[in-house]
Amino acid sequence: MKQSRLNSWFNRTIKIGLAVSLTPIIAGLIAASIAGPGQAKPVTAISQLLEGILTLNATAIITLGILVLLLIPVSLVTIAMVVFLIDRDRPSIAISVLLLCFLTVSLVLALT
Amino acid sequence: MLGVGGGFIIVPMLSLALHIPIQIAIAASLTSIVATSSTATIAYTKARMTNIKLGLLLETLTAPGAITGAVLASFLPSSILSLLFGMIMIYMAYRMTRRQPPTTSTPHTASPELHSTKPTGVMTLLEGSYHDQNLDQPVTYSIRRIPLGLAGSFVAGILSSMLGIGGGIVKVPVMNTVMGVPIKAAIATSTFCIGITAAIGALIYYYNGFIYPSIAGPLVAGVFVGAILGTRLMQRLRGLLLQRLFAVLIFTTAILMFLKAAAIL
Repeated sequence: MKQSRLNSWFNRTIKIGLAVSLTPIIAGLIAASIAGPGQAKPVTAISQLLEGILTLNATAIITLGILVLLLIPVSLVTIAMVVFLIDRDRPSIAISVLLLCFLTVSLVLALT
Repeated sequence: MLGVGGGFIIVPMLSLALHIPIQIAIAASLTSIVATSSTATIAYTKARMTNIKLGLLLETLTAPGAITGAVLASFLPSSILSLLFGMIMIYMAYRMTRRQPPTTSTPHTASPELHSTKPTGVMTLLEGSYHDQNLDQPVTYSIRRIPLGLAGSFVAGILSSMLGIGGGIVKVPVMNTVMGVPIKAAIATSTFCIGITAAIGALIYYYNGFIYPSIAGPLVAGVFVGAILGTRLMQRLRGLLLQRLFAVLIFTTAILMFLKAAAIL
């Protein structure tokens, strides 16, 4: 069943995504509560984020978890496209490609 | 539980009660909506309630709608839009309280006037079915009035970027009352859709430095637990009760929109 394959791929992807994102979020929150009040400003630069993760900075670790979380829905659209490609479901391939294009355009327009 | 993400509770709670700047509150809210959407989608896809293809199709018009809304925001007063939106929502609330959810339906169609046309082409691709826990029977349904549903999705995008509300408040009633999707499938599909829209919004807020891990982190952990409880509850509730709960929610939102239009809020 095509629909059940899509559902099971979605299910698996979200479970993995949530596990990978919630682990650093919770670990970071525990680390932050032990360390007490400190630097809590957002980390946006990738180099700063990597440096923070390597030095086990709680804010950077939580940020990593949040970023993984935000990528889950986008990865679901990509996975749907892959499943539709495998199933050769042309109308659905067109819909998912169109959506990915619109999402990319929205992101680029908003960031520039 | 109702497929709207909870942003309308989180943003006022953070900004009004905790005095957190509005952009930081919206950024944290969008992040938590992604967590809610992802957690709930696990349960809904397992129960096959989420109509993934329909969700993806509707999302293709939400993104251009959001861009249009951003453009319109520069010359259309938000008070006029709030007023229009409020009126549409009151009509939707009225329709949702009048309509009956499926009781013994294979296939399910939303209203008597829709029985006359059989689904064809793309419509058959978008058909869905799930097992209703409350009814303890399968519910199969067809999608109708796709162009109107797409228009509703476009409007949802405009409203979410102009008024800062989640698209679910528009999409659930549109799917349910216009497209003939049973309320549970509409909520599950909307839950999936709002995750995509919120993720894009949150990534933009992240880029601009508005996602504070000390605020968004605990919120994500909290809504994760709440979303698990909400999805379990939704699957066990009667469709009619869910429709009425949603009608109350959109009626309340409409009143808030009128107050906003009158500059009381």
